[in-house]
Amino acid sequence: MLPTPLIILAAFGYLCLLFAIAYWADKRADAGHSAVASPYVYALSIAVYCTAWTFYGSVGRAATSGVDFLPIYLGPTLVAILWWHLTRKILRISKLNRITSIADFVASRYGKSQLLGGLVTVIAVVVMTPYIALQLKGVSSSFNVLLSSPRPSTAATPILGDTAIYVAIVMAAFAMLYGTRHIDATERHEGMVAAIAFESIVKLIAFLSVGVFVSFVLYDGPADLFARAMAMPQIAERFLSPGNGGYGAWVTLTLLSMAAILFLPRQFQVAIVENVDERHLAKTAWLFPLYLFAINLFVLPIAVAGLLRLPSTVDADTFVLALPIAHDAAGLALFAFIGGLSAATGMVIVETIALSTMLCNDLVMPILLRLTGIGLTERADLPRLLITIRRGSIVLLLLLGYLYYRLIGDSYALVSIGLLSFAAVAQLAPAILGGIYWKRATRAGALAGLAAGFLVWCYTLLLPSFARSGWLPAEFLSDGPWGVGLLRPYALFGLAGLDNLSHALFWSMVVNIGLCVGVSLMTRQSPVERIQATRFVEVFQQADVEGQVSLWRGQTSVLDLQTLVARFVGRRRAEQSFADYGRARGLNLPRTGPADAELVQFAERLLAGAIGAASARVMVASVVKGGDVGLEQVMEILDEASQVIEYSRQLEAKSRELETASAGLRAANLRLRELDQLKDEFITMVTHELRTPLTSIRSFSEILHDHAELSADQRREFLGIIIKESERLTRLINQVLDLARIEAGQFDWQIGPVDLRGVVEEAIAATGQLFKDRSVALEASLPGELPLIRADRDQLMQVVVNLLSNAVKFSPARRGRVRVAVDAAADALELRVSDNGPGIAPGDQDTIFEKFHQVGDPLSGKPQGSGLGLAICRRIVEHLGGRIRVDSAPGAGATFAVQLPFADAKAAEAAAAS
Amino acid sequence: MRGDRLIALFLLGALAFSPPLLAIFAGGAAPLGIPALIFYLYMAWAALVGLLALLGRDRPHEE
Repeated sequence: MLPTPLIILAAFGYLCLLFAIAYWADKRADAGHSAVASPYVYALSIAVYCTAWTFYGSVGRAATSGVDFLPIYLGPTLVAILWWHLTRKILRISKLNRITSIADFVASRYGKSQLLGGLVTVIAVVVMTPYIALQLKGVSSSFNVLLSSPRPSTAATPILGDTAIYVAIVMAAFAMLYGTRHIDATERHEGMVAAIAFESIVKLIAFLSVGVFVSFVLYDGPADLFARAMAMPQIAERFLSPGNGGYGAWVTLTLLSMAAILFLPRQFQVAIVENVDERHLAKTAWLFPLYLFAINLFVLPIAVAGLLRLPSTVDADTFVLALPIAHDAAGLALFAFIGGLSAATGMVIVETIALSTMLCNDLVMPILLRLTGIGLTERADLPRLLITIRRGSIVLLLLLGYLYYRLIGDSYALVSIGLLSFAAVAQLAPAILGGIYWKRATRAGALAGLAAGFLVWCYTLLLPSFARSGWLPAEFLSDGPWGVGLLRPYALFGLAGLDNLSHALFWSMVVNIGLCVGVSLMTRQSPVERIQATRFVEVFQQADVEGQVSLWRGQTSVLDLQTLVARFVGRRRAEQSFADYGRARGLNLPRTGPADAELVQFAERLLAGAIGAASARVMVASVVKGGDVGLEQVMEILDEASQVIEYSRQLEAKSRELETASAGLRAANLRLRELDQLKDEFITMVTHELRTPLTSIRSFSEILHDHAELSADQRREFLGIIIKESERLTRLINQVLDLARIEAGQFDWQIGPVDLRGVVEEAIAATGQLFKDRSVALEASLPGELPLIRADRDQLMQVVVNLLSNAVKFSPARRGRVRVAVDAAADALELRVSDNGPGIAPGDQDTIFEKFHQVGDPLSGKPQGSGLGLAICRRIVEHLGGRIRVDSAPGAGATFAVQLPFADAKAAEAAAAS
Repeated sequence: MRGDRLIALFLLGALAFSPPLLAIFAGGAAPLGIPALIFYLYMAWAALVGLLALLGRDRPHEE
């Protein structure tokens, strides 16, 4: 119904529009006005997830097994929730390390391993090429549906009449033009991204248009549509519960699609490599699921309508086109075809660009480097070589895809590759997720897990699909290879009852995760691996890549490095990058000077962006003499770090000690000052005390000297005063000396058992004259038997004499009464000396034991005594292990009590017994 | 804080699309004549996207 030239013109016009958009976006990018720096464009470009397989296949799947197509989109929705955790981390790592593809990511994480990068590349190419073929097939068959309507044609199409070849050629041209503009793959392909975003809009609007047409033009809305379908039991049953594989398949599909949205090479390309700004993730995390929701909104209505209205001979995969055609909506059919075309081309473009980068950086370059060695860098036109390799890869991939489609286009192997490829990509999950969350994951572990998981995938999914396509005997499936039933690929080791995908996912993951973890635990990481592992796992803890531990310890010059980088990215760009580097650090890089480790690392990252991490490492190693670090150096670096930590810990401890010590010193200093002041006061007091008797002695001596006429009586009286004052002076000086000696600890103590009673009686006798002079009565109450105490007899005598003379001194003359009593307590004797003098004010009771503290006579106000007596008493008593105190109230006399410990334990017992 | 909320939302999503919950809706007819399972799946999906949008909008620059 549509003229063929019109269809071809529309398709061609659409593709031209893509070129125009890409051209415009690249021009804007060159002018510095990015057209793709927006979360909306970012979300639309990630929607490259929806391929022709979505556009046509979802309806087909829905028509045969109901909601079974949904997990493919629910999985990515769930992953989008985790973007903020997961994708942000991968994104940050990739930006810091200039990762260019998923293969580069894995290789870089595991010690820049060429082997791992190569393995991931091979897996990706093997799995994705049929996927590309499937897209070409989608374009071709949709074209045929449009062309041959209303009757589907089954006749084979000649190559030249096949749209797929032209589409493939145009796609190759587009990818070569807009996918390989720069050597540095971390330079984003803005033109390509803009075109992909546009394609996402086209396919969405096209699909929604068909959906609206079916739901609201052919029927009165989805409710009407479903109501009619539910009336037909053979259709209704498909939509009431999950289809074919039941719930197990549902879960498996969800998991597989979660892996796919993260690890499909094209998804990595658009979500990670082409990302403009990390902050776009937050908004895109809901915009993208919204897109998925929208594009799936009318899948079920279209499927149901197709089942209701179209003859059962029509392939359900073509309902999107067949429904408009059958109802004479030619324009809509053409639009739907363009939508399908956009879905297919979008996928093909991004996939081939992603794969060509991987092929070039992770497969061809390492091999070339290995074959030619350093000789490769001698070639001056390396940028051209790199571009040629990438363009060659693109052509090769599309050619392979086209051949697949032509040769085995209708086979089960190709038709089922969509889900099979998801299962293959899921094999990357342990190596990548383990790699970014588990530092101990080793290269050997990742390699073993990935290789084994891929082999199990081949055995349980790929080979069976070959068998079902007729290329292997059917017995391979039914009886197992060589008739070994346990090895049947769909029921490995007797695990039957699961759908094929769940079965394959289970076994491949058992092997993959098992080996990845097991081998990692049994192997050691190389130094490079260890450093890369830390960089990946702790990417958020590290401020920026510049401050990280360097892998390089060798010697090279700035010029050598710049020349090396220039060979791969071009002289102008290399000079520019190095100049920027120098400016950013405020350095003037001397061209011939030695390059520091940081600059070497910078150069390696520049190269990594162009040729992949593994190759970049080899290239840098070729100019850095002394090579990279060995295990010892890494340990050294780590040791240095831990030593620094240890030092700082010790410093902290030291400074704490210092603080304590200085606090102690401060206290000691304060105490010293006090003591110093006390000493000054002491000297002042002593001199004052000495001056009084001296003055008196001197005055009377002068009188005697100058007055010869004095009577003999007067002379005797004056001489008596002089002698008395001299004695007082001597006593004072003796007391000062005693006190000083006691305080200095130089006193010669004669400590032994002493009978307190004897001492007290002797003291009473010695002070008898004093009591008589002042007419003070003395009462002594001394028990007959007393335990011996431990003391110095002479000093104890001084204490008792002091106390008695004080008591006399403060007792009122004639009315005075002094009592002396001794009692035995539990482990000490107590001597009490009481008087009935004026008493001591409570405020003075503590200070009277201090040096030169004199309590004045309340009547005359004149101090009595030297003020040293009680101070000496206290020193002596304390030295003997006893205590001295005073109980007094003003006007009620004072009682001085001295407690002195027993001489030995026996005495104590005896006292206790009595 | 936002990270924790997102993880909780992920768990909620995983629950919403888990077989036991689907089994509850399987087989039933539902509002507007649409099969219950289909109606539920799309509603849950839309709710999830809505919540995600709310969280994404909340504090876009929070680390």
